[in-house]
Amino acid sequence: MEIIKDTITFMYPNKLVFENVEIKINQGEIYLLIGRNGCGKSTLLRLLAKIEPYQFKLHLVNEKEISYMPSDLVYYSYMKIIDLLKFYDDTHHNFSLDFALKYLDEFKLNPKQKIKKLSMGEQKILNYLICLSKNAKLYLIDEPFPYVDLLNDEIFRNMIINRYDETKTFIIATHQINEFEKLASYCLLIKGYKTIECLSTDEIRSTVSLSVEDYFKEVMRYVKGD
Amino acid sequence: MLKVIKYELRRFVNLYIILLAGCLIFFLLDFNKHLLMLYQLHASIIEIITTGLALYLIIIYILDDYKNKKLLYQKASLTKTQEFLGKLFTMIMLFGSYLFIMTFVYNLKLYILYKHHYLEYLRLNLDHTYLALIGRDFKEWLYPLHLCLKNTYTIVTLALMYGIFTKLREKRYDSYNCIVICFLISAIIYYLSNYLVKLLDETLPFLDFSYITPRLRAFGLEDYLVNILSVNSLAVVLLYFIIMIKFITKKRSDNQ
Amino acid sequence: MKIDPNKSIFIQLADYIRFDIYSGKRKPNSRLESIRDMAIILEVNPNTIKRVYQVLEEEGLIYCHSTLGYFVCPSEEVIQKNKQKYISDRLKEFLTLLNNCNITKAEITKIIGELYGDN
Repeated sequence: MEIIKDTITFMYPNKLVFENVEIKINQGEIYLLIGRNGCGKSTLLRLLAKIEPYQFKLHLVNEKEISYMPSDLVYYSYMKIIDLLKFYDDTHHNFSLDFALKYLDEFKLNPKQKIKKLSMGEQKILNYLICLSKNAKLYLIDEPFPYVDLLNDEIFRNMIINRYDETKTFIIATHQINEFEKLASYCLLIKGYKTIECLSTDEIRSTVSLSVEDYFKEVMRYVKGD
Repeated sequence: MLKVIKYELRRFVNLYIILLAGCLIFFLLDFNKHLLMLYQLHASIIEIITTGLALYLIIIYILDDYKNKKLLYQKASLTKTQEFLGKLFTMIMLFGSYLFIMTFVYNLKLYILYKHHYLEYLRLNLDHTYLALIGRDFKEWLYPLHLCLKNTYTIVTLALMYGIFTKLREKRYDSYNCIVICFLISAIIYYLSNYLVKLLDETLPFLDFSYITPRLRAFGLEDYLVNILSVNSLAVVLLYFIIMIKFITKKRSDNQ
Repeated sequence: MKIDPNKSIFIQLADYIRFDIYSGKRKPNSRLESIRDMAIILEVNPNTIKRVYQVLEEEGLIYCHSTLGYFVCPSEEVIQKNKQKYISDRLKEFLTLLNNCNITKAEITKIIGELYGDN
């Protein structure tokens, strides 16, 4: 079942990002959103999250049932980790504080620490944690991996699987394709501003015998030469 | 709404305490010198900081909207109105309480002065600081409230202007149009509120409501523009007006 | 289990479970990990595992209990039959390969004999 089936045209004042791009997102799948720098990955996620003023028709998903992880953590500078979690617990009805605290422990973060003093990696972790602590229908995750160490990557993947069920859809934009490709069932490949290709990851592997990462490299080289 | 107030207050509480402490220390430094100049200076400092705080807060909130900070509430289970009102009340509470605490301290200090000197002498010299309440009529005692209401009025007008601006932007109008429409709407708000104040003044004369809006009793649009925007900005508005006539029907065509 | 990202995860997983059953690592009637647990252990998409289970169920190698999850087929006979079919399918593929390389039966038996002898 589709939650989104639409054609997008979008531009920033001086830059065309998408022109008549068709996009179709199915419910209950894990998507990997890949593309080169500046091709509009983050913009697409922001559009889907309805942060940019754009009227997407969402089926089966309420606007408040979207959990969006921006590439930078959003917080007020006075906040400690626990303050931010309590804030979300207070203001977001689908936020699960227990879930957050459980994983906070697993990531070995001290809830009494000031967020301002956290390292980049720790902020990423916290950001990710907040995103996944919401019980949403559509998760939009923008670059979860940079600065995060290998063992925590593993917890990241476990969290997604733990959260996953057939009504939930994940879209993950990342450059570290190999970290997530085993998990993803489809990948959305942004090729220039006119096409977003949707490919099944297993199909890529069985038809061309390449991992998604290698396939992506091949395709992008070709696009560049075009 | 209370939740929003709770978190927003904590956000600014540091700044608030610093301002309060700074001002108190400034008051205490010359505790034994009773220069009247100083009292006038104190009063204007309180007025300026209160207005400055109010403007600072609204600017911070408007800037928030252009940064990621807006994401905090975007998917929250609060309505937009709750968020808006929560932030508005936070601002009012902050500068209102600041004004009242400082006025209290200020007058306490004046009272000590009054114990040593003649009241008449004070009255003569403090005539321009409306924050000195000692020896005044009841009507004049309302001045801090009026100042507070005036700031609230400015903040609400600005917030409304900004709210309308974003709404129009969402509908993909050209930003020039948005600015012009906002100014016109705020002019109408000003005009109406002035009229309301006139009515209130006639029905409840003892409260002296005319302090709420800028004390010049301007009932015309021209006066408004001159007062609020000054002559230079009037030129800008005229320019916008011309641009508006050119673009008013043209929607931004980039999206849909 | 190590997953090779260059090959279809679906096929790798199906083979992984299949071999466990054929070799007796998973006993008849023993319970398979739930889809979610399996996904967490192997870090792959739960949908893929679900598809693998469904295919294996169609083949009769495992069966689904409505509440308790998936179990290995209780009958040794069915497993053996399935195993033989799988092996013969694979050998057929292998034979086409040999034909393409133009190797005679005598040659290949010799090679196999040598390989077994080494072991």
